[in-house]
Formats: sequence, structure tokens, C-alpha cells
Amino acid sequence: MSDRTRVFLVDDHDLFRAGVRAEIGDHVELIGEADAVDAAIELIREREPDVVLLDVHLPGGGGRAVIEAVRETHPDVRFLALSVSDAPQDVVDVVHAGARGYVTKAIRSEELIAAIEKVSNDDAVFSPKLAGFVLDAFTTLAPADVDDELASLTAREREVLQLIARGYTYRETGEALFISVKTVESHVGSVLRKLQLANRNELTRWAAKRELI
Amino acid sequence: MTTPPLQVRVDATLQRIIVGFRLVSAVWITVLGIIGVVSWEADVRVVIGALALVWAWTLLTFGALRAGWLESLPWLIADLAVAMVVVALDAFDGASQGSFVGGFPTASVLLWGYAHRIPGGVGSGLAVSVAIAISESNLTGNITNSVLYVAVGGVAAWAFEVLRNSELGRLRAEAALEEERGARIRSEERAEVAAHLHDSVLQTLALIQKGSTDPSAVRNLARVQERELRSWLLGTAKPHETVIGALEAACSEIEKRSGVAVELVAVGDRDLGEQTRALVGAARESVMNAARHAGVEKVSVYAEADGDSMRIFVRDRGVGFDPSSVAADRRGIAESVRGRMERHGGSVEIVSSGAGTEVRLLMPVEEIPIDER
Repeated sequence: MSDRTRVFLVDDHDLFRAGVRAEIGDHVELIGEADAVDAAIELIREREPDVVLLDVHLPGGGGRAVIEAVRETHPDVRFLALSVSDAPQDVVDVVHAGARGYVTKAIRSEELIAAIEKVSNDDAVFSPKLAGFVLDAFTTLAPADVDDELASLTAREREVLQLIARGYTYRETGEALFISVKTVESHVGSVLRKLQLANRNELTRWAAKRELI
Repeated sequence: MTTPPLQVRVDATLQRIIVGFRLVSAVWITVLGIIGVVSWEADVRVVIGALALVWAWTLLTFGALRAGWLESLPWLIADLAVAMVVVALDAFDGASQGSFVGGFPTASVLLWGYAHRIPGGVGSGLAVSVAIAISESNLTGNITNSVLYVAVGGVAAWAFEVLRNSELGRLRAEAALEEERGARIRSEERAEVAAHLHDSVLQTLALIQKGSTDPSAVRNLARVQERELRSWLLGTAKPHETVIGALEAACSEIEKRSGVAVELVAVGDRDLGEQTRALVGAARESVMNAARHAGVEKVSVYAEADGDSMRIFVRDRGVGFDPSSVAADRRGIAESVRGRMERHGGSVEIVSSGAGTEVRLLMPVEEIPIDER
């Protein structure tokens, strides 16, 4: 019992919370739920879960507000963002605030459980959509003449993201590139770090533009 | 919708006309006063006193018009009193004949008729008549003047009323028309929403109820409906004139027809041209093949615009096949995918194994990236 991942669930839809409870309740230890920003911050600080499953759209400030407040006092709590939408702005908001991954609510139970495990091991969870967004954002953002290594992706990181965007798992990505899963994970982690260090205003501008196309 | 109180514009115009009339009558009384002094030896002091009062009051009247006091009772009483004083002063000009008053009280009578309708007009006309009776002894002249003032007051008040009512009626009709138009637009919008929900969501819900024993069918219906409703609500449906727009339409159509989820990820976009149309066609055929033959629940599609080429990857984790020995029923690969791509200068690579299939499409494009326009 005690070696199971301790998960806290934040979502303002009762039905959705009930659905998630039923889907993952047997595989992880659900230690609490909240349906609004303030309650979530208070309870997460009190119960210190391994992973918080966090809805992007929440009354009282959105998922971003929860991540920022909790990370001030509890930097070890990890966040996996859940959203009904694939809107680039949502992704930018929570990932930039510090979420370790982003999945849509249509995700299958076994994929969600695997994602929770990954996040609890401090790995990043990149869905194909998120990989696509990151590729798009860094292509649009980074001018070719900037050689600041934070502002652009390495060739290998780009290859890894392209394979994930094509629907490859981390393991399949490693096989395709003749590298280990661990190496794939470290590339993805470094991409996540770059995304979190990137200029938020530029990301927001990118997201707004992406929305229009 | 609440109707704002109707502003009768004709009122402001009438006030200005009355004040204008006051100015004209002030000029008129001045001319008559000078004639009186010259030709029938009217007392200069009385005439100058009367004219001073007339001009001072006329100037005040302009101020009252601007301040909006004209309709107030104190002003009306003061105005009528001034008119009566001027009429009465005529009696003290020392001349046995002639009168310099002219039409000065007329503006006052008009103002009363304007503010208090026919009773106001007639009443103020009578008041002026009394002042005339006191100041003059010429009986027929007095009767003529009295009748004239009373008639002017009554008729003007009646005319003002008619003007006002006609404008009020017109404003009401306009407001009613506006309201009716708003209501019609709202009801049209509601009808459109209702029609859309009926054609889409309600139909889907009915289908889900019927097929509720088949979880994968229910899931598919829900997914397709969600995609459709979302794009309708947000108005984010991409125009089909871009490669990604066309690809998205193709994927969603295949989802609908096959029940297999198609996950599309796109980086960059291009306008749809002859070559990219062929690319989308080939991709569509590849997705269709995967959905039909791979025996999977999900197909991944990744599209990437990169410099002078556009690449699309269609991947499934299905049973796979040997691309070099395709069966007769899978001619689609040779014709619709490879043939189409190669005719337009593109290339196709198919990787298939027991772990699934990936079709890799590459098409050189000349269209400029959509981002950089």
C-alpha cells in the first residue's frame, strides 16, 4: 500500500473526478481531491502528494495559480496537467509554470497511470500533441542566428520530439535512434527545462498566433 | 430589452422659436417706441424705461433657454408679469394716441401655451387682455387685441400639441420596430442553435443510447461529436484551404466512418496547392488503410512543414504487412499513395513489421509558410 504513488486530484467537475477515481483508484493511492484553487493549495500543502493531477481550467485562477503557489513551499510536489482542450495557451501556461507533463482528458486509463508513474519518477510526460507544440514553438521562436543554447533545441532533441509527435513511445523512440530509454527521457527532460526557462511573453505570443492558424 | 425614455426633439425647437419671437418683438417694440417719441410725443423717460426692461428681460430669456428654465413656473410667472408691466407702461407715456407695445406680449403667451397647453395659452392671453384694458381706453381696439392674444395663445398651444404628438408617435413606432427587429434576430439565433444541437448533439445522444452496449462505438461517437461541437462553439474549424485544414477534415471524416481514433499533430502549415493536395490525398488514403486493415483503435498522424518540403507520417501499431507483396485488395497503396505522390514529385517510404506500420510521405513544396506572410 505504502509504495503506491500518492496522487491528489484537482478538478472542478464532480463527474470527471468520479471517473478518474474509478479508472486509476486501483493502481495509485488517491489521497485527496479539490475543486478550486484555494482549497487545492491548502490541501496539497497539508497532504504532500507525490503527484497532483491538475485541471488546467479552474475557478479562482486556473491550474497555473495552484502550481505557482505550491512550488513556493513544496518544490518536490510534481504536477501532471489535464485538460479537455489542446489549446496551445493552456499548454504554455501550465508547463511554463512547472508541470512535468500535459495530457488531454481523453487519455486512456492505462496511459494515464503510466503518465502518473513517469511524473512521480521526475520524468517528463510528452504526449504527441505536446511534442508538436514544443517543436512548433521553438521553430517559430528561435531565430537562426541565436546560439543561446537555451533558446533552441539540439538536433537530437528535435529528432526525439519528432518521433514522439509521430506517436512513438519513449521506448520506440530509443530503438529508432539507437539510444536507451534513459537517454530519451533525459532529452525530453531537458526540452521541458528549456520550455520552462523560455520567455513567457514570447511563448504566449506564439500560442496566440498558433491559435489563429 | 428596456426602451429608453423617448426624447421629444420638437420641444427644443419650439423653445428656440419662442425665444426667437421674443427677440423679434423686442426689436419691434424698440422701433415703435422711437416712432412714438418722434411722432406722437410719447414721454421719452417712460419709453426708455420700458425698452430697458424689454431688452434686459430678452437677454435673460436667452440665459433661461440655455439653463432650461423656460418651462419652470417661476419663470413663466415672471415672464408674464414683465409683459403685463410693459403693456401697462404704455398708459403712462403721456401720449393720448398710439401704442408702442406692438406684439411684445406674444412671446409670453406662446411660452405659456407651450408649457401649459391650451389653458396656459388662453389664460395668459386673458391676463395680457386685462393689462391692455387697464392701460388703454379705446374699447374696440382693446377687444380686438384681447381676442387676438387669447386666440394666438390657444391656437399656438394646440399646434404645439399636434407637433409633439406626431413626433412622439413616430418615435414610438421606431422604438417598437427596433425592438421587434432585435427580438427577431434573437429568435433566429436561438433557432439556429437549436437546429444545430438537434442535428448534431441530440442525434449523437440518441445513437449512444441505442449502441450503449458497444463501448468502442459509444467512445467513437462521443469523440466525433466532441470534436464537432468544440469546433462549432469556438469557431476554430480551420479553413480547408491550408494543408493542415484539409488534413484535419480528412482525419475527422475517417474517424466518423471507421470508428478509429485519428490523432493529428501538426507543426507548421502551407497553403493548399496542387502538390500539397496530392500529399493530403495520399495521407488520407494511408490513414484509411490503417483504419481499415491494421486492426487498431488509434492511428497517429504527424505533419511537418520544413523549409521547402512537407512531410506527413501515418503510423499505426497494427498487424503490419509486407509492402512488397500487397494483396489485390490493397492496391490503394500502389495507386492512391505511391502513384499520386510520385506523379507530383514526392516520395513514399513504407515501414511495416509485426509492431505496426508507418507510411512516410515527403512532398517538395514551393508555397510560402503561412506564418511568414
